[in-house]
Amino acid sequence: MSPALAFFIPFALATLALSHWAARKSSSGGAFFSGGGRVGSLLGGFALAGDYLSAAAFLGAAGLYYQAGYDSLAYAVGTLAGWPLMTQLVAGRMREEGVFGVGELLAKRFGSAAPRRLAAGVSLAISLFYLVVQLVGAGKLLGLLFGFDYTVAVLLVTLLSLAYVAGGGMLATTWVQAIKAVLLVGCALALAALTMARFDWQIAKLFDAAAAVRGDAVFLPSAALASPVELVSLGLGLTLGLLGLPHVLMRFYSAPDAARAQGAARVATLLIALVFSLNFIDGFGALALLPGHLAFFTDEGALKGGSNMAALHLAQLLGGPLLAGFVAAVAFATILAVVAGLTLSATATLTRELMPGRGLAFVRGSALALSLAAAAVSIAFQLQNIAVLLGFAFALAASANFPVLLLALYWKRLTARGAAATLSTGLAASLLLIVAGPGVWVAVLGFDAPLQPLANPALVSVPLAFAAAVLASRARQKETR
Amino acid sequence: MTRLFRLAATVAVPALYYLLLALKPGWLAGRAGAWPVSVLLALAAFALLLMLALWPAKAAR
Repeated sequence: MSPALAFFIPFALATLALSHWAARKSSSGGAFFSGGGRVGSLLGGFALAGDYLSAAAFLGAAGLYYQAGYDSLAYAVGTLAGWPLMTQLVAGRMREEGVFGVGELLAKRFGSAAPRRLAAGVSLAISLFYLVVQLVGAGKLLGLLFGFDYTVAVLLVTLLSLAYVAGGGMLATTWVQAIKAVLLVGCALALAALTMARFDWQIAKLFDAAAAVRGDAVFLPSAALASPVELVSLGLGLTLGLLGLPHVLMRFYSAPDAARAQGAARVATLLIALVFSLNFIDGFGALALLPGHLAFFTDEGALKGGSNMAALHLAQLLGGPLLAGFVAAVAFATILAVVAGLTLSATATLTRELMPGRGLAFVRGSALALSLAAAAVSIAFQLQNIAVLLGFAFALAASANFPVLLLALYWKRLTARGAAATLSTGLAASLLLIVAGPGVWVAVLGFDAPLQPLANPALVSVPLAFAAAVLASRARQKETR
Repeated sequence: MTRLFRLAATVAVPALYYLLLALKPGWLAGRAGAWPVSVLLALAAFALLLMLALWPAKAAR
């Protein structure tokens, strides 16, 4: 048995046992989604960090350092910037309102079905796009890590995460996320410590070694981030996109009160900042140490398995098969936990906001149906470039969910029509701009030049959504005077 | 720290960071001791954002 499986199997068994325990505590539909409403700041914070930190936040980040140096840090700043905003603006207020997501918030505020259904549709789309991307990534990564067939890997991740979700609901996924977060932080710490030990605990040696491989340009943004407008739009999309992600927002529902929801957001921010800070040591360490070790490279000189494997290869170099196995197991656990969170989010949106008032059996059946549908799409799209789906999910979150969420929480003059206009405009703007941009118009559809230059359209789509909210709400007020 | 100031600072930190990256001043490519200035800038942004998230504020109800 490989070290990776030897590490992973106890995790899987322990978390399945936890799910069974949680299932007995989640016997009603309400408890299924609230986790009993008693998840404190510490557990909630670890679960929140676990929900947010996907394999991309660890393997992908290290891989981006290896591939493009400083760009990974630039992404990390934008990503982290959303968390203080989450703490200050969203966490406490969402818990005060006592709602699971944006759709429920709008239903509570306006009572009318149209904005609720539109918001639920947007949230469902975000969760499903994100889920498909995670499953495709899981299929490929598990093939590289464990030699699994792609379809087998996708089905394995789907069924395991379904066991958590359908079995124990929010309580089970909370514990799975929290345990995974502990493992992920431990993994990043171990790699960073071993990397620094290799450089005699002198940071200058790490930086000098990285510069020796790629030159000092490795500490500056690459050509991909050369455009100032693109940089600002990217930052905006990353920062505001977090605030509209349904699988993150749902976590506050499980807190006992608003203060502890804010506390959970603070704990999560600390953990995420820690992981991002360790990532740059791991990433630059991989860049500095891997070249020259031919075992990690193909005959053509490319890193075996692609740049996403940089952290794994670094673990192999610094700690042998045992550490590499541990890192692989943590990567598997990370994928499972994020897929579980997204499945729960999609299930909640469907059963609480689109088709409410049905029993727990319907909820569990919906989880099964959504999981299998996402797995089928992931299997069908194995060879496609599905990264655009993630970009679209984030653009939707930033341009549709975030504006209506902020306005519904803080602007008394928002009307139901204004909320619907926000969502429709954010949805249409992000869809059209992404299709017309370099990520789809050129990369997928094969045209020579994009219709608009921004790969991340938040700089345009977010203000448009806010403008629609204000215009539609004020127009309605003028009509009623 | 008032709530409004805290919010404004939270928006200003990443905005200034990306603006500096976009403007590419010459000193960004330099070193401060052992550290590349660009890396220090990112870590300073991390630290400020973390402080703004953790700073005690009037608790929600």
